Amino acid sequence: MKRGVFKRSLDSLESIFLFTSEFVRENHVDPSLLPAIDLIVEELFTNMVEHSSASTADVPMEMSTVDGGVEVTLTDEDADPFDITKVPEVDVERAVEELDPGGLGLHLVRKFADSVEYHYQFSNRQARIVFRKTAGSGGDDV
Amino acid sequence: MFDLERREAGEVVLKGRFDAAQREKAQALFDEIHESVTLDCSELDYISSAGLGVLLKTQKRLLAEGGRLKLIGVNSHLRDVFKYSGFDRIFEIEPG
Repeated sequence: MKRGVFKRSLDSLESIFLFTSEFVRENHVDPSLLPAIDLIVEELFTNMVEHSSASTADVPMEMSTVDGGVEVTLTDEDADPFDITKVPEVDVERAVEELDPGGLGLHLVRKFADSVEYHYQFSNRQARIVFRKTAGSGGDDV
Repeated sequence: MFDLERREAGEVVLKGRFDAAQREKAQALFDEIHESVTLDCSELDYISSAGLGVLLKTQKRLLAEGGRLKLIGVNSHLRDVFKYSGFDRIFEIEPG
């Protein structure tokens, strides 16, 4: 397991991508999974930065290997409850005039991840998001 | 890092990673496009929903002005993102 802690800022994305790429290389994870892993992490992290603006806490991230891929946990401290797995689906079949990028991030998370779990502890206002990405699931069918 | 380079009339090359940290810079560069262009994505490694938002905003503006964006040289990651977001319906896309 590898753990990193990142400042709650979009400027942290470069460090986060370095963290994920090092983990994939060091643990011999299929490198074709990396773009999808980065995308899921970015969308979840960006969501925390832009929608948990009251919190200034750093964001811990843990990565571990699972059979055929990775499991990643992001922790949002001092956060209001917001279960991302309950957000309604985005209709991507709308006409171009009606399309809006809002909600596309979590839509892509669902499409690319094998599974996404949301856990919230009211006692310490902590949200934990856990996802898995393995070979053969959405987004790496090349 | 993300960059956009104009090569010749009607062709723009996208380079690097089009993520949320690059959104403001990228939007400013795309706001300078006022005609139909082909976006060469063969040097674009990665895109997230932040990049999609910039492309969508630009496409909607150009369509209203009688123009459009066309994407060429799209790698497998970009192709998956465009497919899952429905962007393959609103952009003409050629694989790399």
